[in-house]
Amino acid sequence: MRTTDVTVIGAGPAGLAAATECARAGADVLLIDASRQVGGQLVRQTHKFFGSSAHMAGSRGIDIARRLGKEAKESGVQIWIDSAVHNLTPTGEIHVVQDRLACAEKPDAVKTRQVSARRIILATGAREKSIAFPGWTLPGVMGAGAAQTMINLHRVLPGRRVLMVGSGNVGLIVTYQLLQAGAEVAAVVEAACDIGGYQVHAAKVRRAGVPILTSQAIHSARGRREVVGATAVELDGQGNARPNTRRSFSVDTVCIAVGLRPEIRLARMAGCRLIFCPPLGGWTPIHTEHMCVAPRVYAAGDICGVEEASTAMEEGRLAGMAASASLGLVTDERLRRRTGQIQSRLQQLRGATFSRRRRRSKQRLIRQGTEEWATADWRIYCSRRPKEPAIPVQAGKNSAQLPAPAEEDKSLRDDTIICRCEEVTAGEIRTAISRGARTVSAVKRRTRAGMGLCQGRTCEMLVARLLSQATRQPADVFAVDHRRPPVVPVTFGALAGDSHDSS
Amino acid sequence: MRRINQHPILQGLTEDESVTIYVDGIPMKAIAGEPIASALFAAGIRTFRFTPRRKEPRGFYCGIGQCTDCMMQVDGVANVRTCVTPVTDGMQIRTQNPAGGEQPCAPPM
Repeated sequence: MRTTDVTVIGAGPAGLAAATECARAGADVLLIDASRQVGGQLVRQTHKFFGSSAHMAGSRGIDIARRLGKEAKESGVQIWIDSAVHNLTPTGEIHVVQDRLACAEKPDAVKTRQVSARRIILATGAREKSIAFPGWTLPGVMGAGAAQTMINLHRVLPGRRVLMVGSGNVGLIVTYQLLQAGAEVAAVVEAACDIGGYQVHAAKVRRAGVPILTSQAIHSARGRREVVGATAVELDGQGNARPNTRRSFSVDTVCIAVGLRPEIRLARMAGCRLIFCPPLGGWTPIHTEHMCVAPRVYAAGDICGVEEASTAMEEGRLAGMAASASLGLVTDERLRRRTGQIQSRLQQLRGATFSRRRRRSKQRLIRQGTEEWATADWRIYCSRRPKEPAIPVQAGKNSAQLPAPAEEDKSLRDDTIICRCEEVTAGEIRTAISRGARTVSAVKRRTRAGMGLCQGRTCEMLVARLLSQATRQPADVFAVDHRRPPVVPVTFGALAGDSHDSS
Repeated sequence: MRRINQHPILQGLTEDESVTIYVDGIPMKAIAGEPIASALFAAGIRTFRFTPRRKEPRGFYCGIGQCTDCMMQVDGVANVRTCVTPVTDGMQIRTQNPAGGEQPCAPPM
């Protein structure tokens, strides 16, 4: 087993910054990432970033990724790519499966490894949210992030003519990047009455001739083998479809950009306490101002609330600094000074680019984390089955802010697929609820929704919303990520130690 | 669909090492190291499998190995996530159809 001072999980901007910080302080650092290169989502960001020069503003994401990766390597961080963490044990062991990409040709290439870490920094980022509508399982409907990966990383157009669903920054930026890559974008539809992203991105999209249609939701995608068209519908102030307002688009691709949510699976396994914060993307671990989320565990970046690459880097530095200090590698004096500097830069960033709601949510998260830390009621890391999180938000308060825009849900047709893997429809889930299912797991046991290969990654929030509607309770009461290993697909062969690395 | 050769920011595609893959038996060129999914998209193929229950077509959805929608049969192994599995020379890729029949991929658009 490999023993480390600090193991950082996730090599995006937060993870790279955290690992570099620890290595510079003299720690033995291992950085683990599931993809084939470091940089996280930066590797597909071809646009220039905003902010100050301290955050490499004016640079493109792809260049920032390269620089951060170089810094980490130069400071002595050991990096494992193609390495997915599938388990965190209560004793702080990290179970990794390496080269899970291997096929039958080279089964010996699959290797499981174990790492023991004195400190763990979780920098697992965020993942795209989904919305269900008739036809959303057709080839040609994909996440906006997936389309961005296809064009900027793999250099292949995902479609010729696209309808973009969602006008947040991801939707607007990917729209522009699709145009740059040579695709047409028929329109951007936005369920809210305002554009979600920055005006500067919206202006660019509009100048390129793409209409941004607010108060419009995707109604359906159609096609037999693939998408050949899509329909949008106008919404009234309550989020209900206005009659006779359907509008048809001749497109071969529909991109979904309805927001990101923190990737908290490993955080749950580590016993972190979660809070439901819609402005930050949903369930998020509460943390101290030093990014501590549980004893010996730190977190940084989008996992602690969806923000930007610049804030992720700063949070990574904070976490790295604090983890190093807790190992005695950094003096208290230096920790205080450096934390102060980083906090003031963070404040500047959040002041400049953040809505008040997001900034306040972040403050609340930290306040709660600090309080709970002080009361020392934070022993959950030692228990195999942490209690369901006591939901700290007042029930009912967030009911108006469901995890995704309330598009068409009420009229979601019974034959619409909710669980893509197990092909469970909205109707089947509604039946299960009417027969007494009151939690996401109860629905799962009755219908198999969430039991497929993706383990509910895509559908759990959708199931939670159906539950929420049927029972008239806020969605956050139902939406809790489960936390049993393995959190990524692993073959039995690899788990059984076929090619187990015992070094 | 097609490869993006001209791009205002990214450099033009270099003449990368190309490999041959077989999709439902038909040989195709792909770029060494790219995921199966992008090689198929470049060849105009977007339907990767049919579902067991409703026999509906599926393809590329999340692009990062999370949703498992893009699974195909690769070198005889079922349920391979094509969005995160790189192509290798001579790779045999098949439309996944657990019903047992071997339906061909959709014709290029």
